[in-house]
Amino acid sequence: MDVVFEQYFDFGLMRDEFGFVLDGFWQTVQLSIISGVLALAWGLVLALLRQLPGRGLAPVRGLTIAYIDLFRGVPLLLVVLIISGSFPFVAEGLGLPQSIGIPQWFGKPDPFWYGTMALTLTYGAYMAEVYRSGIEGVPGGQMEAARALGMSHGRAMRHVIVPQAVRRVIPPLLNDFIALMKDTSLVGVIALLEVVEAGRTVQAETLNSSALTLGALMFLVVTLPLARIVDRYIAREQGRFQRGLATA
Amino acid sequence: MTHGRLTTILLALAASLLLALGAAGCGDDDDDDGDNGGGGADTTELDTIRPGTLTVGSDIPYPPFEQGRAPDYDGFDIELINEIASRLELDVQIKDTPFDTIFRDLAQGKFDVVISGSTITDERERAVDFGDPYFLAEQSLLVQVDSDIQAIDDLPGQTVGVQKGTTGEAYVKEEAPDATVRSYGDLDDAFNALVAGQVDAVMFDLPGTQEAARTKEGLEVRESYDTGEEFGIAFQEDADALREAVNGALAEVKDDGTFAELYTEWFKKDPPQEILTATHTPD
Amino acid sequence: MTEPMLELHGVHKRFGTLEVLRGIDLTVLRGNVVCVIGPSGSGKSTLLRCINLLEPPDEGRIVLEGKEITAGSARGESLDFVRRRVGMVFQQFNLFPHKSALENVCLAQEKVLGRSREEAAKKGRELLGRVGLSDKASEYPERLSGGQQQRVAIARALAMDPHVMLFDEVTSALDPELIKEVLDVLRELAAEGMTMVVVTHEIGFARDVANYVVFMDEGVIVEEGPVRRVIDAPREERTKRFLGLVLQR
Repeated sequence: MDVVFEQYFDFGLMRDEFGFVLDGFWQTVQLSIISGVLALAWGLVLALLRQLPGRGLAPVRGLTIAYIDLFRGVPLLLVVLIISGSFPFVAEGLGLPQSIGIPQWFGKPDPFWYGTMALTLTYGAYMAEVYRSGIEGVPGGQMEAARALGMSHGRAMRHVIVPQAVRRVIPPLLNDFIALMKDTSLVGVIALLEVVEAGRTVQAETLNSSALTLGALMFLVVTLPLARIVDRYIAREQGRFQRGLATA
Repeated sequence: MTHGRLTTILLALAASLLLALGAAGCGDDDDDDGDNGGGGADTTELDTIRPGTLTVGSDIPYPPFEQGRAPDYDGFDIELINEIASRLELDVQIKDTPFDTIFRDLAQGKFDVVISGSTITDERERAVDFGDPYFLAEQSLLVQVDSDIQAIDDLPGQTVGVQKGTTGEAYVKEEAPDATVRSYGDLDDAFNALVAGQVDAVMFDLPGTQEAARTKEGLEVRESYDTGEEFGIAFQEDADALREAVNGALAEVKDDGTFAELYTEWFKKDPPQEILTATHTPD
Repeated sequence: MTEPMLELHGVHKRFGTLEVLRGIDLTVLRGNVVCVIGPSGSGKSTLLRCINLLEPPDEGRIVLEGKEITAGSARGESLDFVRRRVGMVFQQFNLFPHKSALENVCLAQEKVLGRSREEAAKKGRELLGRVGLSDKASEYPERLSGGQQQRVAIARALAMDPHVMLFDEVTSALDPELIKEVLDVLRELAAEGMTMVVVTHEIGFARDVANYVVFMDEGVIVEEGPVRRVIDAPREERTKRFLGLVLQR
């Protein structure tokens, strides 16, 4: 048991390597925020495409559903590996310059951007389904009232349905964001020096795993408050519902 | 959902979980029963994890030292350890393990030995003990054929791929501190990143880079560095008896010509004289 | 000269295998207040929803102010035409919960009619005043009673300057003590000459305010005529039975 303590809770090592692991965590945070924002936006786009009305737009709906099924059904790690492995060659094949195939935008290395792409594509699909449940949860009367007032489908979505839908699904969206943040660690497999990789580097050099524990603690510093925010949001909505004030 | 329904579902889930655990316990993943005709006789003084078997940890693949798929691994290291084990009348079981934790895992008792194209270093000997050396290695710089990088001095500002936890990683961090180092868990990922242009060079042991240049398109070894590295087999720190037995078997293999045969088979040349006589005493 | 505001000819509507409207012919003159009464499931709501094309009819023609709105080819055009001239108030109010009362009344004015924020707000406050809710302009629907919400809904529909107002059982979801305030608004509207089609259970209201009554049962109009005649002296058996049942309440 002492061995476990020594291997994982060497506070001296944690102190020594704190800056290095923190640098890794900063990568994690940046990747999380950029991918998270993009996924939230992309997810909404997908959700809206998925429920465009009318027979003529059936192919659009079909393609969107296929996309969502694909990225919900394939592990994120595979998506990371496939994008990272193929992107330079696909870009070359399409005649795109190397600055696209091996993106080094804003001083961030290419694994960062491959990771962003993979996370956005995948989590966009998850979030699209969350938005969808929000949209479908808005009572049908809302759309009817909006249409009866002369609003087009698009206007009704924009001003009436989507604002209500999004408000409803803030907890699951936040939960998805927390999951995304943890999943950024998968991008370590293509050598992005995020917090888990930083921990593993220290582990390989020192044969001690305390940097991993340190990484876990850094995660908790962010994810715990986020989880509490979600809980409070849910409780507040519950309270309103019980007092009979929430929307029918 | 009714109370009864929920209970049934939970019970079904628990039952499947138990079944799965049971099935996993019965089989063994990453098995290579590289059976080399050893029996079980006279091995009780060698306190191996499984009596009569030498459990070997190795990070596969690292051609030409270890490669292939379970249970048919081969490579210089694999054949050497098989040969040694047969002298000791032990069976061999190979466990494929990621390199960056392989010494820690050995120290924790997951294997009896590690043979994985790994260099004897003081840092590693803080956790494990190495036996006598069996290979002399150098570091080397692998680049794309049309690369402008000619020497290690050209590395500052470039991105160099390495495998996590290797002496190559340490070497490039030491000798070219202004280069950006990208550390991959899998050796092959580093080479593939070089082919794709995502890194500008790879720093790794010479046999490994030569093999990569041979098998992958458009790569060549630009420079090599005489670091005087010796590969050794690693043991747990208190496994003196096993280490001495293996050293003895290795010496036998060297003396009776088998070593030279294997060496020539895998490296297409004769082994250097120093390696045939080199010994190592752990601190 | 009163010309027909609204004409329905041979309107049929099916939902799956169920035929809910089985050949409706109806004429509504400008300024008329037509009450549609009948048992549940008779198709009254569906009738209203066909008029503003929330449910396009499967067969038959609907003509609004001389223009046929069921002509398939001019779909988009017809929808616009209809929705700008026909206002609807729903049983469940359907106020936008994320917007205040005033915002509810202004949203469609700004986005559909293109009125400026000031114009819309001015009209909005005026209408809220007319329905007796001036002081509730910045309240959100969740803080309003059912009756207040329904009055906001009426103001919201009126803000679009409709020529015809459709009311779909607008008091059925209200507590009894709140019904009067809503009916009073309808009464005033009628007095001002608004053309109204009112689906309702409130027979008393019908008798007071409507000038024409339509009794529907099982997807057809069983009896129609001036309100006094139909309610006080129904001719059809079914009408008599229904009114007997209802008035006994």
